Amino acid sequence: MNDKRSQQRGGGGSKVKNKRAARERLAEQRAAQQRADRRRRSSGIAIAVIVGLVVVGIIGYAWWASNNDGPDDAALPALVQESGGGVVIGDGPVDVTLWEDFQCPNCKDFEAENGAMLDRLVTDGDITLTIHPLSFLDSSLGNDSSVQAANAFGCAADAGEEPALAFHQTVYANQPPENPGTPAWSTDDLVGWGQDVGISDDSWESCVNDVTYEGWVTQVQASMTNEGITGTPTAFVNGEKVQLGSETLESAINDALKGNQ
Amino acid sequence: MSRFRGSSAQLWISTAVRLGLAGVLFWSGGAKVTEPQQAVLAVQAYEILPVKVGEFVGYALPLMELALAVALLLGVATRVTAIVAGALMTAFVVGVASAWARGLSIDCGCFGGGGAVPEGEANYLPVLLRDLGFTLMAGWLVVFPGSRLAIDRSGRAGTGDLGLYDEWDDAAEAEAEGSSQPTSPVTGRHSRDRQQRQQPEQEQR
Repeated sequence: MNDKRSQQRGGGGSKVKNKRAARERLAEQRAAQQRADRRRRSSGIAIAVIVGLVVVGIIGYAWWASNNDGPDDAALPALVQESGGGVVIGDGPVDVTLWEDFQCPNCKDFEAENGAMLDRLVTDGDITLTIHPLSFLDSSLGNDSSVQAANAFGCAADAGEEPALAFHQTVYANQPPENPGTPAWSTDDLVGWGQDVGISDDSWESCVNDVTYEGWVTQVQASMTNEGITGTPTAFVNGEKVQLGSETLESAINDALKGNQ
Repeated sequence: MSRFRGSSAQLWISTAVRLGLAGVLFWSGGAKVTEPQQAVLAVQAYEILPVKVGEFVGYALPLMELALAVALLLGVATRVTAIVAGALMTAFVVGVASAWARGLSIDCGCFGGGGAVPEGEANYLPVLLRDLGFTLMAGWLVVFPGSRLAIDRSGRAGTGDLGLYDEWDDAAEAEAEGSSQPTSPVTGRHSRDRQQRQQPEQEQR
């Protein structure tokens, strides 16, 4: 009896121990689970915060970039009438507006086709030609040749309408095939082409070398995206876009000239 | 719940799809981010959004793609990332199809470039099929976000996965491991949630 009882008691004692051990294990597991949940929650919050910061950063940058129209107080070339405006040549009744990038191969072709005609129409007093020199191809081609040429075009505009138009056409005539990562021309080239078309102003060389009109070039580029110009060359005649695939600039200008008579 | 979910095959396929989509987004975002103005032209060339909105989107899009690529590469919040990436790819498909239908002559600008191109040079069909493929990849990840080599997977160890897919995958894995949730000694929030989520499915059977 005594033995049995003591055995039972002993057995009962170990059962209690087992129960306590089980309870402790359970509590431990529960605590571990809670710790894991807490870690999961806090890292979830951390990730959400990072994602939020990234999204806010992207929105902030895009907002800033799309509202950045270049410096307000940029110096303007002589033939430019307003901030971010194009170079205005001639004063004929028909408005012809061109959006071009000096490094754009299609613009080279366009100038080869239309340059002489535009020259003649300006001289005859038929058109007012406005040229917006763009520079978005710089980032695609990994150089700053479009900015350099656009600036030099502004410098040429200081020398007068005729040299400006002649310089503009000379740069296109000398445009090399696209070669990403290398400059399309040096500032010495630009200075030389200007001298070739008779620019002899004292300020010409320094204007080209110092990128005097860089701020204006930035403004012109910003105005492109504001106007929704999506390719170069883009041409407007009296404010209407010329569909260069199906009509020529010449026919569009002739129609406009006829309309004016 | 299919046996496929949570299987080694599913996890590795999802890993490949995840990393593949990350690569696509790195490529497209990286090509555009170095020429932000070109990216703006590319968006504006679709003539869908107002000019000013297109400009904003053009600047934001490359960074957005890169951010999604990083999230996919790390495998963090895979399902939510895949939903956003899938929405983006769907928008591209709609944009390209719309440009095609309207007879616009533009470069898709998918991997840099973009803008108007001379008539006859636009090539929409391959772009459309490719973007549809990318959309399907994103869709796969929405359905099967669980994958290897991902921060998400260690979520059960507590690193955090925002609880974005464990309601499916943990349950599947628990089934595969044969551990019976109802008698589990652990009564933490997660296993309770898991039981509740499993119930309706069991009723369906």
